Amino acid sequence: MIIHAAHISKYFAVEGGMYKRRTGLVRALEDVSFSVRESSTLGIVGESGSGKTTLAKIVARLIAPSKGTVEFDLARINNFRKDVQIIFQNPYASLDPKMRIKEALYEPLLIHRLAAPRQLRDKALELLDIVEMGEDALVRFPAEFSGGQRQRICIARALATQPKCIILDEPLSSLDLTIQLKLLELLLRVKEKFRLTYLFISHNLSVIKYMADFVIVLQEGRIVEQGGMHELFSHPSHPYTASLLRSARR
Amino acid sequence: MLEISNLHVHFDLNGTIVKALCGVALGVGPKETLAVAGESGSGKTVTALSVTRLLPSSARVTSGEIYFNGDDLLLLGEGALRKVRGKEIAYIFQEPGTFLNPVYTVGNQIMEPLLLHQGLSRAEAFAEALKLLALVRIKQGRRVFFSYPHQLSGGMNQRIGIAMSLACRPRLLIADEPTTALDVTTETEILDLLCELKSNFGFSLLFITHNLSIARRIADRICVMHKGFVVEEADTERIFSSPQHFHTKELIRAYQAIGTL
Repeated sequence: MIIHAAHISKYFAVEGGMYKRRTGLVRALEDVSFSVRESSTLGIVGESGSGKTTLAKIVARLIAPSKGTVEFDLARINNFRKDVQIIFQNPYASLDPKMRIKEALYEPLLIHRLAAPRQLRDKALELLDIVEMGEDALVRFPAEFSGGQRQRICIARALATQPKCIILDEPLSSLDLTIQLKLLELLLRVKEKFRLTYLFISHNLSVIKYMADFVIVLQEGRIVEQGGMHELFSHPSHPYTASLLRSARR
Repeated sequence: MLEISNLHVHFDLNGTIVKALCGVALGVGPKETLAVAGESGSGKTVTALSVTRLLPSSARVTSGEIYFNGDDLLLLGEGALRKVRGKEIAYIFQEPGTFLNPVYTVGNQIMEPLLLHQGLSRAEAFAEALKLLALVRIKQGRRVFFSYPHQLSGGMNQRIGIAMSLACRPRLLIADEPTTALDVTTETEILDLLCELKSNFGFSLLFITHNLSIARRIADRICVMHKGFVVEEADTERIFSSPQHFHTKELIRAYQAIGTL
């Protein structure tokens, strides 16, 4: 197991009134436990507000859980910020609008000392080649690309650090179905090639079915069902999973 | 009822001419649902907006006709067109959060077309607005009436959008990706609601989507667009059973892989 999360809870305080007193507590996640096997894809599915993104941020150590722990296999993941990458939902917000694509790709290479300055350009071209983009992208700005192309750039940037695990938080939800399919095919190829582990978050069960080996179904911060992809799709045991399947099958 | 023929639209972006529509032709019959499907950038939204001349000022209709009940909407004066917009032809847009005005209560916004087009008094408009809220299956209509858009969920705001669009009982409803921003379960609810309202009110529906599974659920006919051209148009089942064009096949491939279970 490359990731092992045990009894994670996350509460957010609701502040209000004068002096920002605490007036309530939002239970975003409640006692969530799961493990991810190496080179597999764990799909996390749930509606908006179910805690998917909070979970992604906790696993990526962008926020701390209120309770519980996330452990990583230290033999494989020893430099966390290098070995674990995250790709966000909105490619318009996750690329700096004032950085040329080459700068966005050079930065992780330099920070993690993965390339000498004179190798940077070749490395960046290699990364762009993996996501099927050409050399001309290097000197351009994010605004010059479509949503699908920007998400390709985000994938290239994530691959720059040679990660072991990538957390994908609804990476395609803002894109057309045809573009989504092309990117999913790309993500599967990249996963094979670099033996990656994915934590793939989506509200779309069909996408989860296409990508995942194991699935967690979240509802209001709790895991209502988890298991292998095929069992879950053929025999959902929780009524919420069944209702999600029904809406997707319509 | 709506007949678009040979529609050409160009955008002038600081001197660069971009051809958005190149001879688009499509028609929607009475009580019919036509789905316009295509990738982003294929010209779906431009087609929808050009029907009542809502395009931005950088756009120019270079040729074509848009007949609605016998009038060419492209030749109609601004005053006459205003009587068509919202009254005869109404819209629902993709982002329910952005087409609603954040500084007015939703009730106020539902009342606006009623006051403007129907000439109702404020009291009558208020009563009618509450009826409309009930019609789109909103419980606690009175509470919602006095809410602001940011206090409501996306699905709720989309219901408000539908209520507004139906306020004047339009004959044609143009829905531009109305469920793209919503969850699957909410999406199902909104689509069911639209189908139900359509059979109750008998309006025609021009439905724009990039997702063929949605088109399949609601449309009588599907028109596939690519880069400003209509590449294929046929009955819904025919599109799926014998797609002719490469881009139709691509849409179906995506639909089969990740658009359905």
